Amino acid sequence: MNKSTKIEKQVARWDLYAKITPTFFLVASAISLTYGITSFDTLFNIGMVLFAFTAVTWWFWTIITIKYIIKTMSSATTDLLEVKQDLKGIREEIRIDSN
Amino acid sequence: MTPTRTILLNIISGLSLAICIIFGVTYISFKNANVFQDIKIEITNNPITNNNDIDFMMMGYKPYECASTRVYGVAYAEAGHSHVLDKFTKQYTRNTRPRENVPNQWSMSVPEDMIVGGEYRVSMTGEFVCNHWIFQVPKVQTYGNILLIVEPLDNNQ
Repeated sequence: MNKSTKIEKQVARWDLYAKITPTFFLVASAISLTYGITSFDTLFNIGMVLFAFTAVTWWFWTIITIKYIIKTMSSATTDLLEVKQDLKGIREEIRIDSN
Repeated sequence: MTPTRTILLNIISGLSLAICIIFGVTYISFKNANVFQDIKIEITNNPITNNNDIDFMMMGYKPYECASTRVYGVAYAEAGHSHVLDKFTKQYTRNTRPRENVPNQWSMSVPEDMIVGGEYRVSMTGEFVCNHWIFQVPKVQTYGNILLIVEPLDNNQ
């Protein structure tokens, strides 16, 4: 599996995580509060830990992904410049030949 | 997944996140708030003579619904010893309205070992259970440095 496909899959996983987690946490909290399983204080602390964990993971994932994208773009730009240079040379040769 | 379902899921998750954030922020602000704001407690009949009771007066503003579970005072003498004031001869008004300035008054008897007289600094402490939305938090608030002067009983007789 190449890196781009990996990133695409990771984005899909983040999307799913962003959709599921808040709703799941809210429903689980409502149930545990209703049945007196946990106090609001405990739920608040769990929420804060989850939030902090998500924020830190997201931050590092974003940095790594941006680094990869910039590297890919830079490589693509270099390749395009080389192609442009080659085309210039070919054009020059055609011009000389036609004369 | 159809676009409609995606939009619906996005709305539900967005609303859930917003609710989590609103509840979290409200809870932390409620938990950290004092029971009384703009509070002032004074002893209105200083110096205490003839074995009279100590009359307290309080002005304060309660931002949340709080019910007191225990109220007591501690009188600290300059010599270092202290006396607990917990015998109410006149009760304070309980469960005063929140978000309104409500004056409150109460009286406490002078402990027997304080009749020798002297100058004291009283700390009044209240233990409360506060409610806001679905939250319930126990809180303690102390108001200190209330001047209390007790005249020796022998001088008044």
